[in-house]
Amino acid sequence: MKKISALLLALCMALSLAACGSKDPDTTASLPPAPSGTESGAPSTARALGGDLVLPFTSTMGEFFNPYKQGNLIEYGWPCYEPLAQLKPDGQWHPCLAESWEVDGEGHTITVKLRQGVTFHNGDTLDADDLVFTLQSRLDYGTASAIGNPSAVEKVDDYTVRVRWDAFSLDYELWILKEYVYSKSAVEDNGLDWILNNMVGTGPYVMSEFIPDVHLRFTRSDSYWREIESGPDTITFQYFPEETTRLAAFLNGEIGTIDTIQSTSIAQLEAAGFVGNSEYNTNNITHYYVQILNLDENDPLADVEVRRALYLHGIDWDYVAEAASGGLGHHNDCIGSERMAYYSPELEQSAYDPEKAKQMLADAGYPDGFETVLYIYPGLEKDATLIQADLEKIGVRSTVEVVDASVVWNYMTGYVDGVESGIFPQYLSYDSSFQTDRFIKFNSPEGAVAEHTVWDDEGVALWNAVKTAKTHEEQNDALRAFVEYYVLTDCTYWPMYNVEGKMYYQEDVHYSDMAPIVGAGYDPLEIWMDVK
Amino acid sequence: MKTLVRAEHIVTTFPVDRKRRFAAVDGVSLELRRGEIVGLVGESGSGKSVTSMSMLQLILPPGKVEGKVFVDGFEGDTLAFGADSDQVRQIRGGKIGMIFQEPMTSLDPVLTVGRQIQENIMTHLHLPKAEAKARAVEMMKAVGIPDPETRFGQYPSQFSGGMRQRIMIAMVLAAEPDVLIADEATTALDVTTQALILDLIQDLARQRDLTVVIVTHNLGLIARYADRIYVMYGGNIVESAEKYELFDHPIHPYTHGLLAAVPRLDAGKRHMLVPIEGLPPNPADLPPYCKFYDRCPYREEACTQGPCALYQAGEGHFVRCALTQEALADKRGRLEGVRRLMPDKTVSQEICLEVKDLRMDFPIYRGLLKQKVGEVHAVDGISLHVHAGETLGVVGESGCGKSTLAKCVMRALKPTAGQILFHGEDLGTLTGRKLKRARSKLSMIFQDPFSSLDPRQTAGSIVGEPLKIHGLVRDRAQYDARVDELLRIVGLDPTFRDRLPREFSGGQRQRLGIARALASEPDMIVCDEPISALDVSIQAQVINLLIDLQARLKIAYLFIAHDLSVVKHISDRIVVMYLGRVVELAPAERLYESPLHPYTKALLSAVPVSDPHVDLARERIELRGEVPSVMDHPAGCAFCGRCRYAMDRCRTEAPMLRDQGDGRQVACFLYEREAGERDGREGGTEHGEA
Amino acid sequence: MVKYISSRIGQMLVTVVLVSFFTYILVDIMPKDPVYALYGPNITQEEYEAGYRALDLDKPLLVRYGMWASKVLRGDWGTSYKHHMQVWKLLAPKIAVTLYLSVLSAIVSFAVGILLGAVTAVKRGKWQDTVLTFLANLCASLPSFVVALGLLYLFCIRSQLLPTSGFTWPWVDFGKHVRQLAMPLFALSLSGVASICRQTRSSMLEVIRQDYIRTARSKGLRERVVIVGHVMRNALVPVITLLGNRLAYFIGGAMFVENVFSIPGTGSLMVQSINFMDVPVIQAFVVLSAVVISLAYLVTDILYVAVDPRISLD
Repeated sequence: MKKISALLLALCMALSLAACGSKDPDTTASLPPAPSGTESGAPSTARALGGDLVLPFTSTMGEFFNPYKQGNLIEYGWPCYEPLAQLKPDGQWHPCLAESWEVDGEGHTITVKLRQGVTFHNGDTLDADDLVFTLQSRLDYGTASAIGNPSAVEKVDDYTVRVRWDAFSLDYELWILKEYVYSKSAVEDNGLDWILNNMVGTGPYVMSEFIPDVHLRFTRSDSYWREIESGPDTITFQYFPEETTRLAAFLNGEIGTIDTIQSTSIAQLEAAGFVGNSEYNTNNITHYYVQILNLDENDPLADVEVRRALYLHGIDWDYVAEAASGGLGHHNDCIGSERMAYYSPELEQSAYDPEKAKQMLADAGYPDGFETVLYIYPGLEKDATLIQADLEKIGVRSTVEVVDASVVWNYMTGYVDGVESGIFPQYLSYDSSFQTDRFIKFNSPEGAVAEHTVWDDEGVALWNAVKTAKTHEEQNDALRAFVEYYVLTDCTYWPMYNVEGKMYYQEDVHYSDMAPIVGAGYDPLEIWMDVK
Repeated sequence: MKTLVRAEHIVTTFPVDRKRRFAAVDGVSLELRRGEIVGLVGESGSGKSVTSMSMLQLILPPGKVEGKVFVDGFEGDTLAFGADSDQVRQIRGGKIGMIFQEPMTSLDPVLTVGRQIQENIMTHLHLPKAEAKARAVEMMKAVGIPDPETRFGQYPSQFSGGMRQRIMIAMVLAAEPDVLIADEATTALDVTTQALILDLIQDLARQRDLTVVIVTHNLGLIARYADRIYVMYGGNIVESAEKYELFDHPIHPYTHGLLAAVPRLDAGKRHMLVPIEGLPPNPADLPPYCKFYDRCPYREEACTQGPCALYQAGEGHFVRCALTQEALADKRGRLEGVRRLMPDKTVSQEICLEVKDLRMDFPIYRGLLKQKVGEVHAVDGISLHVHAGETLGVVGESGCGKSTLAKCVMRALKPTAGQILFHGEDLGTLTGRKLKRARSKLSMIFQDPFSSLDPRQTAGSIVGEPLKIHGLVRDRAQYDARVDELLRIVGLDPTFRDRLPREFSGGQRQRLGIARALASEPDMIVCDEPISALDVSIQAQVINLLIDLQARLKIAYLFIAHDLSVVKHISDRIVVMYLGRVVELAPAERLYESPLHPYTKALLSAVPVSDPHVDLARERIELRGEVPSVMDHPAGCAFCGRCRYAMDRCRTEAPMLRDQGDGRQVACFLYEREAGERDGREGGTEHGEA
Repeated sequence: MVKYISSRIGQMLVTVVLVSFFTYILVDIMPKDPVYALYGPNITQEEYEAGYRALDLDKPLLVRYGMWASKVLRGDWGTSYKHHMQVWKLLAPKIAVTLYLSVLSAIVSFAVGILLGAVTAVKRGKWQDTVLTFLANLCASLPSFVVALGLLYLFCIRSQLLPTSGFTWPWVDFGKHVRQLAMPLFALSLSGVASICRQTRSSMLEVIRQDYIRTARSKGLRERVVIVGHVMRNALVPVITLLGNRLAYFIGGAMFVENVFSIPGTGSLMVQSINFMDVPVIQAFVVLSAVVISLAYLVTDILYVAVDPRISLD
């Protein structure tokens, strides 16, 4: 027995010694965890070349060829792939692989002129064949809706391509310019299966290693078409499925940034001295809202006055926002958040006034309130309870029913029966700029929910105004009017609150103001690390 | 002779509950001298095993041992050292070795036997491994294990019970102790094997000048092997003396009682046994005065005054009794005359049970798919018969098939071949209601009084169940009356009818079993080892009860047992079985006086008689080898491997049971030529006197 | 002995084949459509039918199974629907990691569990027994991911002593390997320790009462020798039984720990594959798991024979 214990002790000691004694560039005895609160973004240090940037990734990576399947390539493909042009936070399109382009509203076309002298990582030269191949692939594989369902893609000459649509839209640029360009020869020579697991782009970084569910690593390319003045030597996306581990890794100095909406993580990070940045989070706004759906004309919710009573005055939305999101959310009376291009403060018209609400209900014929059901899917219990409590105070008794998310979705898009009228709290993650697509999909007379929402003439007319707008300004005004009607007048859509995530950076990691590309990933040339 | 071990006033206590403790050993002092064989006699609860374990400090907490033990070669009281101390561990195994009762479970099953012997040698003789192995092999040879080099590397499960006990002896003696304690070492073995082992121990003791302590309840063994005897009761030594002195002049009432209660092989069948009243002592419940008081037929007021000390009654003869020798002798005279005679019984000519050519085979399965690779012939062609009102005793050692026979007769097993005719009807083919009726007339008493009674049934319900099953009573009142009657018949108080079996002692439970067997008014009872699990002093009570019942109710018994003395006492005729066959059949007295079959002779010589003079004068027949396994059935006579008269014919041909006249039958070629002229009929009907 | 092992291997193969067959059937009756899973939902009817034929779904179940089995025997496990990679290439490194973690956890928990069980058995009734048994029961009730998260908090958030994630093979960088594996191993082994401790304890307590232990003591052996040399060997048989069972548990339970510590094992891959109806990957994993677990049981059986000679080889 003594011998065994001695042996065990020796083993433990040996292991600890081994553990301490290895050189490991990834761990961080060298990195102090608490920075002094510099807001990164301010280019306070000189740009430098070097360092290894590790970024966390939370969902699985795979299928690197977007025309084939709509994956999340944008989120981690940006070091390697480049679009035709980049929409930066200054609101301008910065040419990238496209030298110039021309939009013809009457002819429903956009003509793009490609830059010359750009090579893909496999040596292939960028030309019109590659762009045609990329766009045509979307048509071939059925993902053409991402670029507005063009009717034709034509090669004009070796470096010019024209895309044609059937109808007018303000979004031609938006649809085409953001597209990553793929190498035709890379795909055709190696096959579909290969390109789904490999990246061949034109960007400043080359994919060097991909292990599914482990990491994706890029190293700097030596054949980039521009001069590279700054940036890390390698960019690695590391797979972290668990939020707590990500947080720990960040605090430990193992990863360069962290992007979170969890209030507990934010509290920890702030306590450790990091300052978060919400400004450049293009992909992490979650919009919580309620949809009123009714089949039955006799249901109280079919009466617009009832709906207005409940939405405009019956529920304390600020309180709900605060309580349900742990202090991170705020309420706006619009679809999306105040970052939306169409937004104006005039839209804020709701005001909590339970007495008035009760009065309005009585006027509508329900002095004693009525009964209704809240259908939620798991995760929204807190929101439902808060709404339920407020409704109770004005005499509306509600029960909460938890159903499967697919049931809710199917109901909204018309494919299930058995669910009656009711209040449907839900949420969606919004990209702060590209709201038009979403509207079409969900909230318009043409959208998927159209069957179960009642659209009167005014709503349809306002929507037509949106569709026929000829300029962005017109579009925004029309949207504003539509939203005002849909949310505040018709009251079948009740925005609850928006929660924005925050991004945190290590002290030695810098993202300039121009790093985020709106609606896409990041510009790798605008990211660098301090190098000792 | 030199004193090797001296124990002074050992008191070993165990806790009953948090406050009280009881003394299993209550002030025992004894002495062991070089080269002698000491017997330590007592029943369960006497504290004999606990005494030897206490001396070696094998009693684990919460038991506590007090007193002094002096061992030759060690300074001072060895009990003062801890159980795990170097000194005590040297004594334990190195100076005093011990072998235990159950050879089947006393060896470590996962280590080879050789290794276990080697371990002992290395611990005490401090020899290197190779030399220890050589010694171990030598030791194995000395105890008679054939082919010891090979068997060194085998595991205990590959040896029989007798062999395992030999290994234990080899293991213990290999460490060269001065004292060997054999704690009921042969109780679990067959009679013939028992004799072999004890003879072996005796030889080794003489060769190596060992002191041996034989702890047992069997007076016969003591009479044969011991030089000096201690008799223990209730944790005390009540009498100690040299062997002949003790048997010739026993003084203590308990010693007397034991001698009178145990049936002797050489006794006549005229008198009933004289049991000791009452129950064996419960150690938690003993009075501070004479522990034997409740059961002592000589008890007096004076005995309750306090604990009494040992006094010397003669040279080396000590007794613990408050009464003087003269007073005891006086009382004895009066009591002795009261010995009962055996009751008269009539045995009719009518045959109650007849077994013809009974065969019972069990298949042996081997392999993945459980294929049948052979058969075990547990019962291999048996024919016998029982008259109404008589007792047929069946004796044999392990593997002889007597239990299987009982089960076949009871139809617990369906025989492979042969007939079992009960009142003329073949039980083997009966079914349904006829079988049920037959069963009511044929009942059974089992061996283990603890497991043969349903622990959740009350005594009354156990006894009354057959009444209900066979519809023998009309109503509740009759049922109650009959149950009370049955309980009274077997000597139990009818007010006990609502108690559960666990509230009865072993002997009382066996009585319940008998009452249950009687309830259906049977013509015959099959008794399968009914008393072997009982204490010696209780056995006599149950035997007497059975004899009385037979005389009164004219029930026939098929009495199966391995204790020859008991079987001889109770049976009218005896059947001797060996490996599934009948080898001899004879009236009881005649079997003892002049056994014919070599096996019977050897068997009888192996059973010691509890009178040293008589035992010494008897011829000892040595049997080679051990009882073979039932699966290795040799061709020819089953006994030829061990028989000293074996001829070539015996190895190839199996002898048939032949009539020898006088009611005797033998299956042996030695007697073949004589019987050749008679009608060569096998077993079956013959005319003999009961 | 050789005959025994070969017969057991034979049984093992039968088990694996049956398992793979039943899994094939189960996967087949799952509601999600493999054609859609592979090609996406936006395909035309013609493309659907072409895909249907390409996946051989028009052939009967047994034929499909046969084709799959024959390919496997040649080493071709198919291509993952989701990852469009060779299944073997996808799965092999991950299975190696998961197995390494599971086997290591099994070894650790057995070693520690047996040791603790022995201590509590020998010190039965004393304070060591009470404390250790209490701790063992406490640990048994803690799920592995709770422990994992707790460790993460202690060692990475509160202090920066250990890395949060990743996996390195020991021959690549031994120190890093130890640091990365310390927490996951601890989290995974903990509940195993508790149950093995309890089993060892009860088994040893039963053996201690046996006659042959009394014999061993009566030979004057040291108590320590009695415990280790005689009691333990006899007590180990039921504990060995747990080996196969525990290993299966660890392979499954490793998923939680892998998730928390971002260890590139099979856990998350399997969940995705099932959600996605990635049939080749599911099949491969199930068959490989069946092989591993059967091997574990085979090892258990061999160990039995080695430890207890009464368990004979027929």
